Amino acid sequence: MRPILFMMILFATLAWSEEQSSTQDVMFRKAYFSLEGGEVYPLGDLLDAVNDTYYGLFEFRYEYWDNVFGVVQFGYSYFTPRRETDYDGIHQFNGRVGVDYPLTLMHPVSVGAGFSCLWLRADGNDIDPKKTTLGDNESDFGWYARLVFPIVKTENYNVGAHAYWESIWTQPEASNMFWFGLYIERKLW
Amino acid sequence: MKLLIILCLSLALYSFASIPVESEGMDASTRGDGTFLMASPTYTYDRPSMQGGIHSSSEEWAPEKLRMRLLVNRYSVTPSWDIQSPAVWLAMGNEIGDLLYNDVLVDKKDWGDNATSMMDVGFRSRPLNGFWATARGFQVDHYSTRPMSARTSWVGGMKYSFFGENLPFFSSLYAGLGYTGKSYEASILAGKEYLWVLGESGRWIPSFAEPRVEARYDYRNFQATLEYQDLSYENQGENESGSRKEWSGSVRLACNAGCEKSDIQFGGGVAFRVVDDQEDTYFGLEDDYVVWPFVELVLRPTAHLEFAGHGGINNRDWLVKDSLEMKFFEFKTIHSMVGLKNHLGSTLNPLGESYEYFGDDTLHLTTDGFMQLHRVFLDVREENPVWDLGMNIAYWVEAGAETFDPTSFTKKGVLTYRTGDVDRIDSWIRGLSGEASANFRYDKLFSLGARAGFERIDGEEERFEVNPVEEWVQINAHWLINKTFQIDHSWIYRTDANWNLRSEDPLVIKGDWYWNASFSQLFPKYGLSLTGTILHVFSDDQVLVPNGGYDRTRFFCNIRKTF
Repeated sequence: MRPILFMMILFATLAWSEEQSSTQDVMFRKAYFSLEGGEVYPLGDLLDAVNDTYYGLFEFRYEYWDNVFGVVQFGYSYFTPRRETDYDGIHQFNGRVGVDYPLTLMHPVSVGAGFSCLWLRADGNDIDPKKTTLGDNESDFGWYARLVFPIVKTENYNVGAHAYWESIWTQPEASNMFWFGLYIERKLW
Repeated sequence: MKLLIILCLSLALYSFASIPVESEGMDASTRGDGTFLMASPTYTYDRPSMQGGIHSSSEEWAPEKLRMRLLVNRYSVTPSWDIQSPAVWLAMGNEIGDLLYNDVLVDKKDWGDNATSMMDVGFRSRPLNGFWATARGFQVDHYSTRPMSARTSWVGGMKYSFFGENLPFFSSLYAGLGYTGKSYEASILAGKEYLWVLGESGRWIPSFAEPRVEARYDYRNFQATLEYQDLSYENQGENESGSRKEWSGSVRLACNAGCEKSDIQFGGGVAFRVVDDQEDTYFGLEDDYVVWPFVELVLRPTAHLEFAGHGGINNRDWLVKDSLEMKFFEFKTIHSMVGLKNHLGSTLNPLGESYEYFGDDTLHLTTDGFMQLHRVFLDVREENPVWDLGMNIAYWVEAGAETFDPTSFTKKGVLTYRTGDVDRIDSWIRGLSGEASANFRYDKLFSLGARAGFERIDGEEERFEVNPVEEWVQINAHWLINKTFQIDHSWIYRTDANWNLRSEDPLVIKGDWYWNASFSQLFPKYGLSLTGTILHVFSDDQVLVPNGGYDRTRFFCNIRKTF
């Protein structure tokens, strides 16, 4: 499966980067909290399903290995359907867990990847479950890859942009989306 | 060094170690060394090809299974009420393949089955002056959609679980207290549980336990367990209902770590069940009780010879299972062993249910006579720090094997039900099985393992409940990068298996490849781990057991903080 192979290759890259003699000491040596907002663009068949929309999320980023950062995110967005449906819109909560790695070649840009989790539910009352599958909570998983573009860096604050390509393992086809947003990040320690 | 790492990583991209599963006892999902067919988290046909005989492992009683769950006449770890180590945890997952946004595009007639979820949340506290507390809520909804229509008819809708609306095969909730002393531990858990079990008839039969209480006590090699369940049964489609109050438990003096080195070890204990059934309970226990005394024995007359066995007898049944193992050639890294195993008894499981009630019919789940299984094997291994090789070849014969004698089949929707009784195959069944394994390790960084096996079964009777797979291959790989990032993956292949006695025509389970992978961020200093696991990638969404659910690709992630 392509995403799994992609992540294996990413970690293979990390594995033959400099060995960490004191990984345990590096862990959580630095930690950041950020708020992010941007837009989500459906791709492929989803262009006919839902409109572009905005998203908001918060992120906890921590040093995992020397120069490698772990990422945990939670966010929300609201999609409106492009066809007539039994509901007004779709609430979406999303979570991501992954890592970021700064490639020397692309300095100061970092690349990252990880797993994504979505929870969706149709917006509206008295939704007939025979007409939509989104009448109750639906969840699914997938993966993402992202680029991190730092724009402003100060001692305690960072501002930058994130670009994501995300693929969720849905039927009948995988659901692919492009996300772009700006973040402001505060150093926690 | 780096070149070696790259080589290993490349190798392992084509291969796979220990893959986590959604809930304890569901490891049949990641085993390839035989026939492992899951109908639901509460029913699995699990038969390692090196076991011998034609029954599945979960059908066998053994002293070490006393704390497992007895579901009809099979032992299951799932749903496990085993006490967890001190930690707080959260896991959630889903079968791959919901529509999500595609709901807007896809017509209802093209909807596939709903992909269903799992969740597990709980904690066990650190001991405070020896006292600790624990609580857990968990359920696995996977495999649930195919038999959904029949199941909703039983319980009158989709509300038969603690969380969500998917009709999971188990949904369990408990809380409890315990005390850990210097050499003993005592605990008591109380909770509720929704549970579906697969009867020999092929029906999924629901029960709701309120309360379910389980108390355990361990003192060195001694263990005691006591359970109480107040179960209610309902079949709204047939206007039936019933209840069962059940007490069960056991005491066992086992030989474990404390006496492993002595030349002679004795153990034993007694297990019991008592039920009080009212109206429609769908299962029955002869005389409403069973008491099962048993003994265990290990003898090591020389460093090269070991005899081990257990046996039990009561007013209805008896069974003996023993093994004799002799090491005959030991040379530096090479270890060879020949062995003989015998398994004789009037039943595989003396504590299981005696009857299943199906309308006006009664299915007898025990039968007269006895089974005997004898197995001889040769095992040769070469073990080195970096690599090891192994080979095992065995021949077995069995007479009086338990089987099912169906008298009628009824098709309802996609499900088929049967009536009949448990019976025996009086003729001899013969089996030849073998496996070879190779393992390679590089420090703690990387390990690669491969196993392959075959089995040929012959005899006058050719149709068993399950005709097991004839060939299988399993390749595992494990990396531990920087001691803090763990990757495990596995490739499994098995050939066809057949279910013969649950429908007019055999159900052929086509051979298939399975790929499983797991990624863990480890934070050992903080006792924290973050894991994502994907199971059964590339395989077809097959039904592996008649009346079971679809076996789908599924993903789950968990976070665990140990104390």
